[in-house]
Amino acid sequence: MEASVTLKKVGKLSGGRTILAGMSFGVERGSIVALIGDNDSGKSTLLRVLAGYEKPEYGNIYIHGLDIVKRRHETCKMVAYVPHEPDLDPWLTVEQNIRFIGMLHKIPADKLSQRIAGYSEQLGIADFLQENVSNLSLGIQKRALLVRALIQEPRVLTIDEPTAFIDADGKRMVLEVLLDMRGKRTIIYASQDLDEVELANDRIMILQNGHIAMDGTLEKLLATTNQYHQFEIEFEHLDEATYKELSAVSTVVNPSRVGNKFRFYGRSRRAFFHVLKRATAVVTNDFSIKTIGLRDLMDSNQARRGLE
Amino acid sequence: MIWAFLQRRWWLTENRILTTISTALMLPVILYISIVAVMENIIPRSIDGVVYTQWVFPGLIMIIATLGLVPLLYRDFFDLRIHRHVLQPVTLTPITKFEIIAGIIITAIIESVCFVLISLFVLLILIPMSVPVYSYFILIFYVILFNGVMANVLITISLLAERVTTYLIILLSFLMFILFSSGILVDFEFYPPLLSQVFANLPTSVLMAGIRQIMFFNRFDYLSLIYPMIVIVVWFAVNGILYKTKAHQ
Repeated sequence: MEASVTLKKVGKLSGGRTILAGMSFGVERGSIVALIGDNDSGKSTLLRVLAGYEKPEYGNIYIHGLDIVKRRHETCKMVAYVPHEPDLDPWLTVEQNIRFIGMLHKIPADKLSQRIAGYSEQLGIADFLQENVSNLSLGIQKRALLVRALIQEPRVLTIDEPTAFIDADGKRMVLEVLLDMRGKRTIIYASQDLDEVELANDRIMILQNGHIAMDGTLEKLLATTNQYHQFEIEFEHLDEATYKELSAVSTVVNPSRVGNKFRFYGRSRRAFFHVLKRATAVVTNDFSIKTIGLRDLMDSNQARRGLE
Repeated sequence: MIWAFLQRRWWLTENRILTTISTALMLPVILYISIVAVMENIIPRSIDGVVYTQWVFPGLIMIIATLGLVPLLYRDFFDLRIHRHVLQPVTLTPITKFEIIAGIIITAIIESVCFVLISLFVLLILIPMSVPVYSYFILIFYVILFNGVMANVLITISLLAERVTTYLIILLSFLMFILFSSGILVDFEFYPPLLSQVFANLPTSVLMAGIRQIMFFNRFDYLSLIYPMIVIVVWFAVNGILYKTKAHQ
Protein backbone atom coordinates (compact mmCIF):
# COMPACT_ATOMS: atom_id res chain seq x y z
CA MET A 1 0.00 0.00 0.00
CA GLU A 2 1.18 3.52 -0.80
CA ALA A 3 1.76 6.06 1.93
CA SER A 4 -0.77 8.84 2.20
CA VAL A 5 0.95 10.75 4.97
CA THR A 6 4.64 10.52 5.82
CA LEU A 7 6.35 12.22 8.74
CA LYS A 8 10.13 12.44 8.95
CA LYS A 9 11.54 13.47 12.32
CA VAL A 10 8.83 16.04 12.90
CA GLY A 11 9.31 18.15 16.00
CA LYS A 12 7.28 20.90 17.57
CA LEU A 13 8.29 23.08 20.49
CA SER A 14 6.27 25.53 22.49
CA GLY A 15 7.86 27.91 24.96
CA GLY A 16 10.95 25.72 25.23
CA ARG A 17 8.81 22.61 25.88
CA THR A 18 8.83 19.69 23.45
CA ILE A 19 5.33 18.95 22.19
CA LEU A 20 6.32 16.58 19.38
CA ALA A 21 9.69 14.91 19.68
CA GLY A 22 11.04 13.98 16.26
CA MET A 23 8.15 11.78 15.12
CA SER A 24 8.55 9.56 12.09
CA PHE A 25 5.83 7.34 10.68
CA GLY A 26 3.78 6.72 7.58
CA VAL A 27 0.06 6.21 7.12
CA GLU A 28 -1.36 4.00 4.39
CA ARG A 29 -3.85 5.43 1.93
CA GLY A 30 -7.45 4.89 2.90
CA SER A 31 -6.74 3.73 6.44
CA ILE A 32 -8.23 4.97 9.69
CA VAL A 33 -5.65 5.88 12.31
CA ALA A 34 -6.71 6.69 15.85
CA LEU A 35 -4.43 8.75 18.08
CA ILE A 36 -4.93 8.22 21.77
CA GLY A 37 -3.02 9.28 24.83
CA ASP A 38 -3.15 11.30 28.01
CA ASN A 39 -3.97 14.99 28.01
CA ASP A 40 -1.09 17.06 26.69
CA SER A 41 0.54 14.06 25.04
CA GLY A 42 0.71 15.86 21.67
CA LYS A 43 -2.32 14.38 19.83
CA SER A 44 -3.98 17.68 18.90
CA THR A 45 -0.67 19.32 18.01
CA LEU A 46 0.17 16.39 15.75
CA LEU A 47 -3.16 16.79 13.95
CA ARG A 48 -2.68 20.56 13.59
CA VAL A 49 0.79 20.06 12.19
CA LEU A 50 -0.46 17.39 9.76
CA ALA A 51 -3.20 19.70 8.52
CA GLY A 52 -0.79 22.59 7.97
CA TYR A 53 -2.54 24.54 10.71
CA GLU A 54 0.81 24.91 12.49
CA LYS A 55 4.33 24.66 11.16
CA PRO A 56 6.69 22.12 12.75
CA GLU A 57 9.97 23.49 14.11
CA TYR A 58 11.87 20.76 12.31
CA GLY A 59 11.31 17.72 10.14
CA ASN A 60 9.18 17.16 7.04
CA ILE A 61 5.63 16.11 6.39
CA TYR A 62 4.55 14.73 3.03
CA ILE A 63 0.97 14.40 1.89
CA HIS A 64 0.77 12.03 -1.07
CA GLY A 65 4.45 12.76 -1.69
CA LEU A 66 4.22 16.56 -1.49
CA ASP A 67 6.00 18.54 1.21
CA ILE A 68 3.35 20.29 3.29
CA VAL A 69 5.42 23.46 3.78
CA LYS A 70 7.01 23.82 0.34
CA ARG A 71 3.89 22.74 -1.61
CA ARG A 72 1.31 24.23 0.72
CA HIS A 73 -0.98 25.41 -2.07
CA GLU A 74 -1.42 21.86 -3.40
CA THR A 75 -1.46 20.03 -0.07
CA CYS A 76 -4.12 22.23 1.51
CA LYS A 77 -6.49 21.09 -1.22
CA MET A 78 -5.85 17.49 -0.16
CA VAL A 79 -6.11 17.82 3.62
CA ALA A 80 -9.08 18.87 5.70
CA TYR A 81 -9.00 19.55 9.41
CA VAL A 82 -11.75 19.43 11.99
CA PRO A 83 -10.70 21.18 15.20
CA HIS A 84 -11.81 20.13 18.66
CA GLU A 85 -13.62 23.40 19.44
CA PRO A 86 -16.04 24.75 16.84
CA ASP A 87 -14.60 27.69 14.91
CA LEU A 88 -17.65 28.73 12.91
CA ASP A 89 -18.57 32.38 12.46
CA PRO A 90 -21.34 32.94 15.02
CA TRP A 91 -23.02 35.67 12.93
CA LEU A 92 -23.51 33.49 9.88
CA THR A 93 -25.79 30.52 9.35
CA VAL A 94 -24.37 26.99 9.24
CA GLU A 95 -24.80 26.87 5.46
CA GLN A 96 -23.17 30.29 4.95
CA ASN A 97 -20.17 29.17 7.01
CA ILE A 98 -19.76 26.00 4.97
CA ARG A 99 -20.44 27.69 1.63
CA PHE A 100 -17.83 30.40 2.28
CA ILE A 101 -15.07 27.83 2.79
CA GLY A 102 -16.34 25.86 -0.21
CA MET A 103 -16.14 28.98 -2.37
CA LEU A 104 -12.54 29.58 -1.27
CA HIS A 105 -11.80 26.02 -2.34
CA LYS A 106 -13.30 26.99 -5.72
CA ILE A 107 -15.92 24.23 -5.63
CA PRO A 108 -18.55 24.94 -8.34
CA ALA A 109 -21.82 26.23 -6.85
CA ASP A 110 -23.99 23.29 -7.97
CA LYS A 111 -21.54 20.70 -6.65
CA LEU A 112 -21.21 22.65 -3.43
CA SER A 113 -24.98 22.71 -2.87
CA GLN A 114 -25.16 19.00 -3.63
CA ARG A 115 -22.37 18.13 -1.20
CA ILE A 116 -23.73 20.36 1.56
CA ALA A 117 -27.17 18.76 1.22
CA GLY A 118 -25.72 15.22 1.07
CA TYR A 119 -23.32 15.39 3.99
CA SER A 120 -25.62 17.41 6.23
CA GLU A 121 -28.31 14.79 5.65
CA GLN A 122 -25.87 11.99 6.54
CA LEU A 123 -24.78 13.79 9.69
CA GLY A 124 -28.30 14.80 10.69
CA ILE A 125 -27.93 18.58 10.53
CA ALA A 126 -30.00 19.29 7.40
CA ASP A 127 -32.67 21.02 9.54
CA PHE A 128 -30.10 23.36 11.07
CA LEU A 129 -28.44 24.66 7.88
CA GLN A 130 -30.35 27.95 7.91
CA GLU A 131 -29.88 28.55 11.64
CA ASN A 132 -27.45 31.15 12.92
CA VAL A 133 -24.48 29.40 14.49
CA SER A 134 -24.80 31.42 17.70
CA ASN A 135 -28.19 29.73 18.33
CA LEU A 136 -26.88 26.18 18.00
CA SER A 137 -25.47 23.66 20.46
CA LEU A 138 -21.81 22.66 20.29
CA GLY A 139 -22.81 19.18 19.09
CA ILE A 140 -24.55 20.53 16.00
CA GLN A 141 -21.65 22.92 15.38
CA LYS A 142 -19.21 20.03 15.61
CA ARG A 143 -21.17 18.09 12.99
CA ALA A 144 -21.24 21.23 10.82
CA LEU A 145 -17.42 21.30 11.04
CA LEU A 146 -17.37 17.77 9.67
CA VAL A 147 -19.63 18.77 6.78
CA ARG A 148 -17.37 21.77 6.12
CA ALA A 149 -14.34 19.46 5.97
CA LEU A 150 -16.07 16.85 3.82
CA ILE A 151 -17.35 19.23 1.11
CA GLN A 152 -13.79 19.65 -0.19
CA GLU A 153 -13.62 15.83 -0.58
CA PRO A 154 -10.18 15.66 1.02
CA ARG A 155 -7.82 12.79 0.48
CA VAL A 156 -6.67 13.12 4.08
CA LEU A 157 -9.09 14.01 6.85
CA THR A 158 -7.72 14.96 10.26
CA ILE A 159 -10.20 15.23 13.11
CA ASP A 160 -9.66 16.28 16.69
CA GLU A 161 -12.23 14.42 18.81
CA PRO A 162 -14.78 13.54 16.08
CA THR A 163 -17.66 13.01 18.48
CA ALA A 164 -16.91 15.64 21.13
CA PHE A 165 -20.09 17.44 22.35
CA ILE A 166 -22.23 15.12 20.18
CA ASP A 167 -25.21 13.09 21.51
CA ALA A 168 -25.53 9.30 21.17
CA ASP A 169 -27.48 9.41 17.89
CA GLY A 170 -25.07 11.91 16.42
CA LYS A 171 -22.08 9.81 17.47
CA ARG A 172 -23.50 6.86 15.59
CA MET A 173 -23.96 9.00 12.46
CA VAL A 174 -20.42 10.38 12.66
CA LEU A 175 -18.92 6.91 13.10
CA GLU A 176 -20.97 5.58 10.18
CA VAL A 177 -19.70 8.39 7.95
CA LEU A 178 -16.11 7.74 9.01
CA LEU A 179 -16.40 4.00 8.47
CA ASP A 180 -18.03 4.61 5.06
CA MET A 181 -14.93 6.49 4.00
CA ARG A 182 -12.59 3.64 4.94
CA GLY A 183 -10.52 2.74 1.89
CA LYS A 184 -11.41 5.97 0.08
CA ARG A 185 -9.88 8.61 2.32
CA THR A 186 -7.14 8.52 4.89
CA ILE A 187 -8.56 9.45 8.27
CA ILE A 188 -6.39 10.41 11.21
CA TYR A 189 -8.24 11.35 14.36
CA ALA A 190 -7.53 11.93 18.01
CA SER A 191 -9.95 10.76 20.65
CA GLN A 192 -10.39 10.24 24.36
CA ASP A 193 -13.41 8.04 23.73
CA LEU A 194 -11.87 4.58 23.71
CA ASP A 195 -15.13 2.82 22.82
CA GLU A 196 -15.23 4.91 19.67
CA VAL A 197 -11.59 4.10 18.95
CA GLU A 198 -12.25 0.37 19.36
CA LEU A 199 -15.03 0.67 16.78
CA ALA A 200 -13.25 2.77 14.15
CA ASN A 201 -9.59 1.99 13.58
CA ASP A 202 -7.19 0.22 11.30
CA ARG A 203 -4.32 1.29 13.46
CA ILE A 204 -3.96 2.88 16.87
CA MET A 205 -1.10 5.09 17.97
CA ILE A 206 -0.63 5.80 21.66
CA LEU A 207 1.15 9.08 22.26
CA GLN A 208 3.06 9.90 25.40
CA ASN A 209 4.94 13.19 25.95
CA GLY A 210 5.26 13.85 22.24
CA HIS A 211 6.51 10.33 21.45
CA ILE A 212 4.75 7.35 19.97
CA ALA A 213 4.61 4.96 22.93
CA MET A 214 2.77 2.18 21.10
CA ASP A 215 1.67 1.75 17.51
CA GLY A 216 -0.25 -1.05 15.81
CA THR A 217 -3.62 -2.70 15.31
CA LEU A 218 -5.95 -3.10 18.26
CA GLU A 219 -5.17 -6.82 18.40
CA LYS A 220 -1.43 -6.17 18.38
CA LEU A 221 -1.71 -3.63 21.17
CA LEU A 222 -3.86 -5.89 23.31
CA ALA A 223 -1.44 -8.76 22.72
CA THR A 224 1.17 -6.73 24.59
CA THR A 225 -0.89 -7.22 27.74
CA ASN A 226 0.30 -10.86 27.87
CA GLN A 227 -3.17 -12.33 28.45
CA TYR A 228 -3.71 -10.32 31.58
CA HIS A 229 -7.20 -10.16 33.06
CA GLN A 230 -8.78 -7.50 35.15
CA PHE A 231 -10.42 -8.72 38.37
CA GLU A 232 -12.74 -6.85 40.66
CA ILE A 233 -13.99 -8.20 43.99
CA GLU A 234 -16.52 -6.31 46.08
CA PHE A 235 -16.29 -7.00 49.79
CA GLU A 236 -18.81 -6.10 52.42
CA HIS A 237 -16.11 -4.17 54.21
CA LEU A 238 -12.56 -3.74 53.00
CA ASP A 239 -10.29 -2.29 55.68
CA GLU A 240 -6.79 -0.93 55.11
CA ALA A 241 -5.03 -3.95 56.63
CA THR A 242 -6.93 -6.43 54.44
CA TYR A 243 -6.29 -4.25 51.38
CA LYS A 244 -2.55 -4.27 52.11
CA GLU A 245 -2.56 -8.01 52.70
CA LEU A 246 -4.39 -8.70 49.44
CA SER A 247 -2.13 -6.32 47.54
CA ALA A 248 0.86 -8.28 48.73
CA VAL A 249 -0.27 -11.50 47.02
CA SER A 250 2.51 -12.35 44.58
CA THR A 251 0.23 -12.93 41.56
CA VAL A 252 -1.59 -9.60 42.02
CA VAL A 253 -0.52 -6.82 39.65
CA ASN A 254 -1.32 -3.11 40.04
CA PRO A 255 -3.90 -3.37 42.82
CA SER A 256 -6.22 -0.47 43.58
CA ARG A 257 -9.38 0.12 45.56
CA VAL A 258 -12.54 2.11 45.12
CA GLY A 259 -14.55 2.00 48.36
CA ASN A 260 -15.01 -1.69 49.18
CA LYS A 261 -14.07 -2.82 45.71
CA PHE A 262 -10.64 -4.37 45.26
CA ARG A 263 -9.40 -4.19 41.68
CA PHE A 264 -6.28 -5.83 40.31
CA TYR A 265 -4.74 -7.43 37.24
CA GLY A 266 -3.42 -10.95 36.96
CA ARG A 267 -1.91 -13.11 34.28
CA SER A 268 -4.20 -16.07 34.99
CA ARG A 269 -7.43 -16.75 36.85
CA ARG A 270 -5.40 -18.32 39.62
CA ALA A 271 -4.64 -14.85 40.90
CA PHE A 272 -8.33 -14.46 41.66
CA PHE A 273 -8.41 -17.59 43.82
CA HIS A 274 -5.17 -16.60 45.57
CA VAL A 275 -6.87 -13.37 46.64
CA LEU A 276 -10.07 -15.12 47.71
CA LYS A 277 -8.05 -17.61 49.82
CA ARG A 278 -6.40 -14.72 51.67
CA ALA A 279 -9.71 -12.94 52.16
CA THR A 280 -11.55 -15.70 53.99
CA ALA A 281 -12.26 -13.46 56.97
CA VAL A 282 -14.10 -10.89 54.84
CA VAL A 283 -17.57 -11.33 53.34
CA THR A 284 -17.53 -11.19 49.54
CA ASN A 285 -20.54 -9.50 47.85
CA ASP A 286 -19.72 -9.66 44.17
CA PHE A 287 -16.92 -10.20 41.69
CA SER A 288 -16.11 -9.78 37.99
CA ILE A 289 -13.39 -10.97 35.62
CA LYS A 290 -12.77 -9.49 32.20
CA THR A 291 -10.11 -9.61 29.55
CA ILE A 292 -8.16 -6.42 29.11
CA GLY A 293 -9.39 -3.80 26.63
CA LEU A 294 -8.03 -0.59 25.26
CA ARG A 295 -9.32 1.30 28.29
CA ASP A 296 -7.19 -0.82 30.64
CA LEU A 297 -4.20 -0.42 28.40
CA MET A 298 -4.61 3.33 28.67
CA ASP A 299 -5.32 3.31 32.38
CA SER A 300 -1.92 4.55 33.35
CA ASN A 301 -2.46 4.48 37.09
CA GLN A 302 -3.60 0.92 37.31
CA ALA A 303 -2.37 -1.03 34.36
CA ARG A 304 0.12 0.58 32.09
CA ARG A 305 3.18 0.45 34.32
CA GLY A 306 2.79 -3.24 34.98
CA LEU A 307 1.54 -4.34 31.62
CA GLU A 308 3.82 -2.55 29.19
CA MET B 1 -11.54 34.56 -4.35
CA ILE B 2 -12.90 38.07 -3.92
CA TRP B 3 -16.43 36.82 -4.69
CA ALA B 4 -16.30 34.55 -1.68
CA PHE B 5 -15.34 37.46 0.57
CA LEU B 6 -17.96 39.73 -1.04
CA GLN B 7 -20.61 37.08 -0.57
CA ARG B 8 -19.60 36.64 3.08
CA ARG B 9 -19.66 40.40 3.63
CA TRP B 10 -23.15 40.57 2.16
CA TRP B 11 -24.37 37.73 4.40
CA LEU B 12 -22.94 39.49 7.45
CA THR B 13 -24.47 42.84 6.45
CA GLU B 14 -27.79 41.23 5.57
CA ASN B 15 -28.04 39.75 9.06
CA ARG B 16 -27.77 43.21 10.69
CA ILE B 17 -29.00 45.52 7.95
CA LEU B 18 -31.40 47.54 10.11
CA THR B 19 -28.76 48.28 12.74
CA THR B 20 -26.31 49.32 10.05
CA ILE B 21 -28.75 51.67 8.30
CA SER B 22 -29.95 53.24 11.55
CA THR B 23 -26.36 53.84 12.66
CA ALA B 24 -25.51 55.37 9.28
CA LEU B 25 -28.51 57.69 9.62
CA MET B 26 -27.83 58.67 13.23
CA LEU B 27 -24.08 59.10 13.11
CA PRO B 28 -24.04 62.32 10.99
CA VAL B 29 -26.65 63.87 13.29
CA ILE B 30 -24.59 63.00 16.38
CA LEU B 31 -21.40 64.34 14.78
CA TYR B 32 -23.17 67.51 13.66
CA ILE B 33 -24.54 68.23 17.13
CA SER B 34 -21.38 67.33 19.03
CA ILE B 35 -18.77 68.79 16.69
CA VAL B 36 -20.04 71.17 14.01
CA ALA B 37 -22.61 73.04 16.09
CA VAL B 38 -19.94 73.82 18.70
CA MET B 39 -16.87 74.34 16.55
CA GLU B 40 -18.51 76.72 14.06
CA ASN B 41 -18.88 79.22 16.90
CA ILE B 42 -15.18 78.92 17.79
CA ILE B 43 -13.77 78.79 14.23
CA PRO B 44 -16.23 80.47 11.83
CA ARG B 45 -13.88 80.14 8.85
CA SER B 46 -10.77 78.14 7.97
CA ILE B 47 -7.43 79.89 7.36
CA ASP B 48 -8.19 79.67 3.63
CA GLY B 49 -11.48 81.48 4.17
CA VAL B 50 -13.84 78.53 3.73
CA VAL B 51 -16.90 78.49 6.02
CA TYR B 52 -16.09 76.02 8.85
CA THR B 53 -19.21 73.90 8.41
CA GLN B 54 -18.26 73.29 4.78
CA TRP B 55 -14.55 72.98 5.51
CA VAL B 56 -15.16 70.24 8.11
CA PHE B 57 -17.58 68.32 5.82
CA PRO B 58 -14.94 65.99 4.24
CA GLY B 59 -13.45 65.49 7.73
CA LEU B 60 -16.82 64.33 9.06
CA ILE B 61 -17.16 61.95 6.13
CA MET B 62 -13.74 60.47 6.93
CA ILE B 63 -14.75 60.05 10.61
CA ILE B 64 -17.92 58.24 9.52
CA ALA B 65 -15.92 56.07 7.10
CA THR B 66 -13.47 55.14 9.86
CA LEU B 67 -16.25 54.40 12.35
CA GLY B 68 -17.87 52.19 9.73
CA LEU B 69 -14.61 50.33 9.22
CA VAL B 70 -13.46 49.78 12.83
CA PRO B 71 -16.08 47.19 13.90
CA LEU B 72 -15.66 45.19 10.70
CA LEU B 73 -11.91 44.83 11.05
CA TYR B 74 -12.01 44.48 14.84
CA ARG B 75 -14.39 41.58 14.37
CA ASP B 76 -12.48 39.78 11.63
CA PHE B 77 -8.90 40.34 12.71
CA PHE B 78 -9.18 40.54 16.48
CA ASP B 79 -12.35 39.18 18.07
CA LEU B 80 -12.92 36.21 15.80
CA ARG B 81 -9.20 35.52 15.40
CA ILE B 82 -8.43 35.54 19.12
CA HIS B 83 -11.64 34.24 20.65
CA ARG B 84 -13.11 31.86 18.08
CA HIS B 85 -10.24 31.16 15.69
CA VAL B 86 -12.65 31.78 12.81
CA LEU B 87 -9.86 32.88 10.49
CA GLN B 88 -7.99 29.60 10.89
CA PRO B 89 -10.13 27.52 8.50
CA VAL B 90 -9.72 30.32 5.95
CA THR B 91 -5.94 29.98 6.23
CA LEU B 92 -6.27 26.27 5.38
CA THR B 93 -7.84 27.01 1.99
CA PRO B 94 -5.67 27.36 -1.13
CA ILE B 95 -5.33 31.16 -0.88
CA THR B 96 -2.43 33.17 0.48
CA LYS B 97 -2.37 35.30 3.62
CA PHE B 98 -2.11 38.36 1.36
CA GLU B 99 -5.28 37.33 -0.42
CA ILE B 100 -7.07 36.86 2.89
CA ILE B 101 -6.07 40.35 4.04
CA ALA B 102 -6.93 41.84 0.65
CA GLY B 103 -10.30 40.07 0.62
CA ILE B 104 -11.23 41.34 4.06
CA ILE B 105 -9.91 44.89 3.47
CA ILE B 106 -11.61 45.32 0.09
CA THR B 107 -14.98 44.05 1.27
CA ALA B 108 -14.79 46.04 4.51
CA ILE B 109 -14.03 49.20 2.52
CA ILE B 110 -16.95 48.51 0.19
CA GLU B 111 -19.29 48.15 3.16
CA SER B 112 -17.84 51.26 4.77
CA VAL B 113 -18.36 53.25 1.53
CA CYS B 114 -22.02 52.15 1.41
CA PHE B 115 -22.30 53.26 5.04
CA VAL B 116 -20.73 56.62 4.09
CA LEU B 117 -23.14 57.10 1.15
CA ILE B 118 -26.16 56.86 3.47
CA SER B 119 -24.57 59.27 5.96
CA LEU B 120 -23.53 61.62 3.16
CA PHE B 121 -27.15 62.35 2.25
CA VAL B 122 -28.08 63.05 5.86
CA LEU B 123 -25.06 65.31 6.28
CA LEU B 124 -25.96 67.21 3.10
CA ILE B 125 -29.33 68.02 4.64
CA LEU B 126 -27.66 69.32 7.79
CA ILE B 127 -24.82 71.16 6.03
CA PRO B 128 -25.78 72.89 2.77
CA MET B 129 -22.71 72.68 0.52
CA SER B 130 -21.76 74.91 -2.38
CA VAL B 131 -19.34 72.63 -4.23
CA PRO B 132 -19.55 71.02 -7.68
CA VAL B 133 -21.40 67.69 -7.81
CA TYR B 134 -18.41 65.82 -9.28
CA SER B 135 -16.41 66.63 -6.15
CA TYR B 136 -18.62 64.20 -4.19
CA PHE B 137 -17.49 61.38 -6.48
CA ILE B 138 -13.88 62.41 -5.93
CA LEU B 139 -14.63 62.58 -2.20
CA ILE B 140 -15.74 58.93 -2.30
CA PHE B 141 -12.49 58.01 -4.06
CA TYR B 142 -10.56 59.76 -1.29
CA VAL B 143 -12.68 57.97 1.31
CA ILE B 144 -11.53 54.67 -0.24
CA LEU B 145 -7.89 55.74 0.04
CA PHE B 146 -8.36 57.09 3.57
CA ASN B 147 -9.97 53.78 4.54
CA GLY B 148 -7.13 51.94 2.82
CA VAL B 149 -4.66 53.59 5.18
CA MET B 150 -6.90 53.18 8.22
CA ALA B 151 -7.67 49.54 7.43
CA ASN B 152 -3.98 48.69 7.36
CA VAL B 153 -3.37 50.45 10.66
CA LEU B 154 -6.34 48.69 12.25
CA ILE B 155 -5.15 45.30 10.98
CA THR B 156 -1.67 45.91 12.39
CA ILE B 157 -3.14 46.78 15.79
CA SER B 158 -5.47 43.76 15.64
CA LEU B 159 -2.66 41.38 14.77
CA LEU B 160 -0.27 42.73 17.38
CA ALA B 161 -2.69 42.94 20.32
CA GLU B 162 -3.53 39.70 22.10
CA ARG B 163 -5.85 41.11 24.77
CA VAL B 164 -8.97 43.12 24.33
CA THR B 165 -7.90 45.77 26.89
CA THR B 166 -4.60 46.32 25.07
CA TYR B 167 -6.44 46.46 21.78
CA LEU B 168 -8.96 49.05 22.99
CA ILE B 169 -6.33 51.31 24.58
CA ILE B 170 -4.19 51.29 21.43
CA LEU B 171 -7.21 51.72 19.18
CA LEU B 172 -8.70 54.66 21.10
CA SER B 173 -5.32 56.41 21.39
CA PHE B 174 -4.74 55.92 17.69
CA LEU B 175 -8.18 57.23 16.69
CA MET B 176 -7.68 60.31 18.87
CA PHE B 177 -4.30 60.84 17.26
CA ILE B 178 -5.69 60.57 13.72
CA LEU B 179 -8.60 62.84 14.61
CA PHE B 180 -6.32 65.67 15.73
CA SER B 181 -3.24 65.06 13.61
CA SER B 182 -4.82 64.77 10.16
CA GLY B 183 -6.54 68.12 9.88
CA ILE B 184 -9.92 66.46 10.15
CA LEU B 185 -11.46 68.92 12.61
CA VAL B 186 -8.95 71.76 12.97
CA ASP B 187 -6.64 73.45 10.45
CA PHE B 188 -2.90 72.80 10.95
CA GLU B 189 -2.30 76.55 11.21
CA PHE B 190 -3.62 76.39 14.76
CA TYR B 191 -0.85 73.97 15.79
CA PRO B 192 2.74 74.86 16.79
CA PRO B 193 4.89 75.11 13.58
CA LEU B 194 6.95 71.96 14.22
CA LEU B 195 3.91 69.78 14.99
CA SER B 196 2.00 71.23 12.09
CA GLN B 197 4.89 70.35 9.72
CA VAL B 198 5.09 66.77 10.99
CA PHE B 199 1.35 66.20 11.00
CA ALA B 200 0.85 67.71 7.56
CA ASN B 201 2.99 64.93 6.07
CA LEU B 202 0.99 62.03 7.45
CA PRO B 203 -0.76 60.10 4.64
CA THR B 204 -4.17 60.80 6.20
CA SER B 205 -3.38 64.54 6.36
CA VAL B 206 -2.23 64.56 2.75
CA LEU B 207 -5.52 62.97 1.73
CA MET B 208 -7.54 65.50 3.76
CA ALA B 209 -5.63 68.42 2.26
CA GLY B 210 -5.96 66.93 -1.23
CA ILE B 211 -9.74 66.53 -1.13
CA ARG B 212 -10.22 70.03 0.32
CA GLN B 213 -8.11 71.49 -2.49
CA ILE B 214 -10.35 69.76 -5.03
CA MET B 215 -13.66 70.55 -3.32
CA PHE B 216 -13.08 74.17 -2.39
CA PHE B 217 -10.38 75.46 -4.79
CA ASN B 218 -10.73 73.13 -7.75
CA ARG B 219 -7.00 72.30 -7.53
CA PHE B 220 -5.68 68.77 -7.94
CA ASP B 221 -2.42 67.59 -6.42
CA TYR B 222 -1.11 64.24 -7.71
CA LEU B 223 1.06 63.81 -4.64
CA SER B 224 -2.07 63.66 -2.47
CA LEU B 225 -2.96 60.45 -4.30
CA ILE B 226 0.38 58.79 -5.03
CA TYR B 227 1.94 59.13 -1.57
CA PRO B 228 -0.99 57.51 0.33
CA MET B 229 -1.22 54.81 -2.35
CA ILE B 230 2.43 53.88 -1.80
CA VAL B 231 1.84 53.82 1.96
CA ILE B 232 -1.17 51.53 1.49
CA VAL B 233 0.75 49.07 -0.69
CA VAL B 234 3.80 48.94 1.58
CA TRP B 235 1.70 48.64 4.74
CA PHE B 236 -0.40 45.92 3.13
CA ALA B 237 2.77 43.93 2.41
CA VAL B 238 3.92 44.40 6.01
CA ASN B 239 0.54 43.19 7.29
CA GLY B 240 0.74 40.14 5.05
CA ILE B 241 4.12 39.22 6.53
CA LEU B 242 2.89 39.98 10.05
CA TYR B 243 -0.16 37.79 9.59
CA LYS B 244 1.96 34.97 8.19
CA THR B 245 4.25 35.20 11.22
CA LYS B 246 1.34 35.32 13.66
CA ALA B 247 -0.39 32.34 12.06
CA HIS B 248 2.74 30.16 12.56
CA GLN B 249 2.00 28.39 9.30
